[in-house]
Amino acid sequence: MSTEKKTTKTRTVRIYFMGKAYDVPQGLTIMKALEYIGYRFIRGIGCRGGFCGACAVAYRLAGEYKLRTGLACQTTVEDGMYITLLPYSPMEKPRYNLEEMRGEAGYILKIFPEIARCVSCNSCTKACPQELEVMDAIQAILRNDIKRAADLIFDCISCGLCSLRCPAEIRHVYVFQLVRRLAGKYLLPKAKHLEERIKEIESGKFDAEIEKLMKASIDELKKLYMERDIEKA
Amino acid sequence: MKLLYYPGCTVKRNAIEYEKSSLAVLEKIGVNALELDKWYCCGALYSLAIDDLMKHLGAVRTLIYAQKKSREENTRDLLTICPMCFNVLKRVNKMLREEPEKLETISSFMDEEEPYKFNINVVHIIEVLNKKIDELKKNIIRNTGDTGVSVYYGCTVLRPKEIGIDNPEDPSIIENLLRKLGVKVVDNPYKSMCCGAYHILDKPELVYNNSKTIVEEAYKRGAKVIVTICPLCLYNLRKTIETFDKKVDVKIIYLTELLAYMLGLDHVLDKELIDFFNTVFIHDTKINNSMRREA
Repeated sequence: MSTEKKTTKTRTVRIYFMGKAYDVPQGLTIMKALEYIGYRFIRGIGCRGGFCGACAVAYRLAGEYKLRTGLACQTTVEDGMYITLLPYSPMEKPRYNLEEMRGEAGYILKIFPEIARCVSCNSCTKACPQELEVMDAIQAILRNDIKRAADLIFDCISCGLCSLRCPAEIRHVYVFQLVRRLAGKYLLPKAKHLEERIKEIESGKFDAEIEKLMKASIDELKKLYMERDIEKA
Repeated sequence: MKLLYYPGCTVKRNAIEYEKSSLAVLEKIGVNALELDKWYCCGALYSLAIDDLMKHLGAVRTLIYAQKKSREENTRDLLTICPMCFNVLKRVNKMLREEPEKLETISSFMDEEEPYKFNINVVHIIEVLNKKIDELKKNIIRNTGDTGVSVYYGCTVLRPKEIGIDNPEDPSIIENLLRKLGVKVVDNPYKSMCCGAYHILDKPELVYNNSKTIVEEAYKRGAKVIVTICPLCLYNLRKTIETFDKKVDVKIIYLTELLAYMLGLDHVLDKELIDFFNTVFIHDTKINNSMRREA
């Protein structure tokens, strides 16, 4: 048994990080490989599940000129991989008042005039770890189709990789945030049931119930939780 | 007649009335314009730096997408109504055809797209209307009487001459079209002089100066209406009129708005514009005649 273990030694791949070579077990994600090396993440880490967009990375593969991008928690290491972390993409956060705007391209272009510099190079789309049609979304804004733009970038996780690759220096993360807000406020159908529920909450309909819950013991809460109504699929 | 249609950003945002009237006129004369469901900003101005290939990417992508569509729809013609889009798309198309090494550079950058095979033909709406003159004539229900109409071409459908749709110095294609439809055309020697284009942003005085010459000449010669085909020209001429000390009694509109009126396509025109047309073209129209008969 013990001799067998020796022969099935973990296979490793060689990666390069901060100018140094490391041999790490095959099959790890970049994030886990760096932790294996001994790095401890404080920033540039979040959900570890590919949803939060905090762990953007750029890398090159052995023998390839292309700069590739991805998420550290989703990309597995490969032999000869050169890696850098891009936990944050520098861009000024604009301030605006949604109440003074409409769901029209002009309002977006006023804050982000650089959108008009898009040359359709598609670098943003190639960089997107979510495989969104980023260029098409920017182009949809230019032609005042805000709803389509909002639709195309609904799954954006704001990792900022597109903005780092963009030759027109567009701040996609904030552009898309504004697009989603404008679409939600002005273009998509209103959620009537939500408005009604907010009114109910404001009128104090659930106050007594909440009070009761706040005073309940842990055991009582557990019991209530187990017996709750679960919405049918 | 079936055409692929590339609207362009301006037409979708600031010149909606141009698109509405254009598409309605085309539909009326039996032209089916199919908007590409994917298209990109053409770049608005054709980049003249010989190594600045990146600026052409939007146009190239649009041509490639049109090429894909052309196989499904069995038509190679790509219709534009904005003259700047026409200019850029047609010049990029020509550049790709004549300079294979540039096409190769661009293609290797856009390796995610299918190769471009030059089978798209960029056309402007005037060329289509001109071909369909008999259909237009047949469908006219209002004439414009003795009211003078002047034509302003702007630059980008005419120049450079390699891609222009008519004589770059002395164009007459729109006047001939209007004359055949019974419109009293007032000639304007400045009909193809530049209005000043984007200088409206940094040197508005230059635009006012140029556009004043254009408008005043048309007005002096008796035009009540100036028709144009370019959203930027229209904007500049209108802005210029606003700066006049003495109001001039001339209105700048799109050619297709006039045609829509003559074809009776009132549903695509503003009520205000119809009222204006009704006042300025007071001479007996077929509609007026029939109304009189009823009365």
